[in-house]
Amino acid sequence: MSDALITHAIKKATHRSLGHVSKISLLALLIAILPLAAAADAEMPEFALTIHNHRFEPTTLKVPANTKFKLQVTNKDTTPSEFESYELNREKVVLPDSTVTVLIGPLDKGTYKFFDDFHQDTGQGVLIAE
Amino acid sequence: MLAIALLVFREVLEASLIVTVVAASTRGVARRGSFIGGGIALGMIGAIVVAIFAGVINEAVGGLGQELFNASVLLAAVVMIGWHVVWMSSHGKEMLRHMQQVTASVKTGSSSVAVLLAVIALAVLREGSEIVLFLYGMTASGADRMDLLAGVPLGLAGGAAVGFALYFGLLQIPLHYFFNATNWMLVLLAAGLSSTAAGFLIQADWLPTWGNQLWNTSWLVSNNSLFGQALHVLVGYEARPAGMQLVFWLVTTTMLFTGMRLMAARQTALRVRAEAQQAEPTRNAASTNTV
Repeated sequence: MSDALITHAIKKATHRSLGHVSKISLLALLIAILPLAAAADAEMPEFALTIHNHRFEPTTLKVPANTKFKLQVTNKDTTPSEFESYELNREKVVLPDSTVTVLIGPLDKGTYKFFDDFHQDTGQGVLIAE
Repeated sequence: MLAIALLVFREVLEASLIVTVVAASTRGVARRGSFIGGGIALGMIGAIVVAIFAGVINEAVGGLGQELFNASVLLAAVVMIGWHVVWMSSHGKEMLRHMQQVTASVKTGSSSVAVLLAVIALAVLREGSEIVLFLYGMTASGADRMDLLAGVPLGLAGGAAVGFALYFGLLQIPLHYFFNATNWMLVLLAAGLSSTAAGFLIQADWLPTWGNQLWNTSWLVSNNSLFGQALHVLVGYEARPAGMQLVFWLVTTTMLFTGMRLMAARQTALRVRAEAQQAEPTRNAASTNTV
């Protein structure tokens, strides 16, 4: 990794507004991991998932294996949902009328179940990495 | 009703297990009941505030607010638990001696207990905010009121009952080993929280994974089983851990273990010196004069 890239990453990180979060611990972490965390995320492929009537649309989503990608989850219901997956090790609350981005991968080939933690009886889906 | 009870139960369970370990580790400390109650109350208020500002948190830091908020809350709890166990290593023996002499409350330790109050508050805040969002959604979507009125208390009671069961189980540990055991439980608890925090930082792409999935033991103990969830809270069990999560787990246990050992060694050295001075005051005075 080039020095320029690392300097850029440090600048980017130090300019981030951390708000009220515990700055010291995050700073200590940052110093330790910065050289490794600077990943190019410009050309990451994107996929979309919609929550409607407490169901995912589509319920089966094909994604590329061995690639990092962004999953945009949009909640069209009037109630909060939580996109969650034990197999992907992800959880993120999706408020009504809003979209969240979940970074996933690189995944091995296979199927990965996900669900809506707040509506588990209806909100079920699966990612297929191939 | 059952779906509501189950979700509430799962969220309460995590907070309840943390509260239990903290409660056990402060056994014998004066006014700890009000500390624990205060921590829970503060956490519940915090949970409502966090739920209200969920939208603001989500949009902060370029959409990564939720991950960074969770990671910060978890890491703050790790730091506080760390501070407490290291402090306990220098005062634990003293507490134990008090407890063996008189069963009355020990006055020392309030400052460290205040730190643990914060740990309880953070645990309740994190799990509680999800319950608040979920219940808000349930009410807004016109869920049957009877389902809510029956489901919520049922979930709460279930989660609390598991906590109480663990607490009375822990009380069976002989007093001589008791604080050693609860200290170790706190170390493992902190390591688990630290590994969960690493998970959120990976999700935010602030940390590399160092191996997306080191192993997969979900066939043995799945993270969505009750046992798997309890293990996840108590020792940081992950059925599919990322390499970075294991690193966080190991670094936390190693740091806290080293801190405990160093403090305990220092305490022993201090006591030995104090006893030597008591035994031979004249010779000591003479030696200080020559120096």
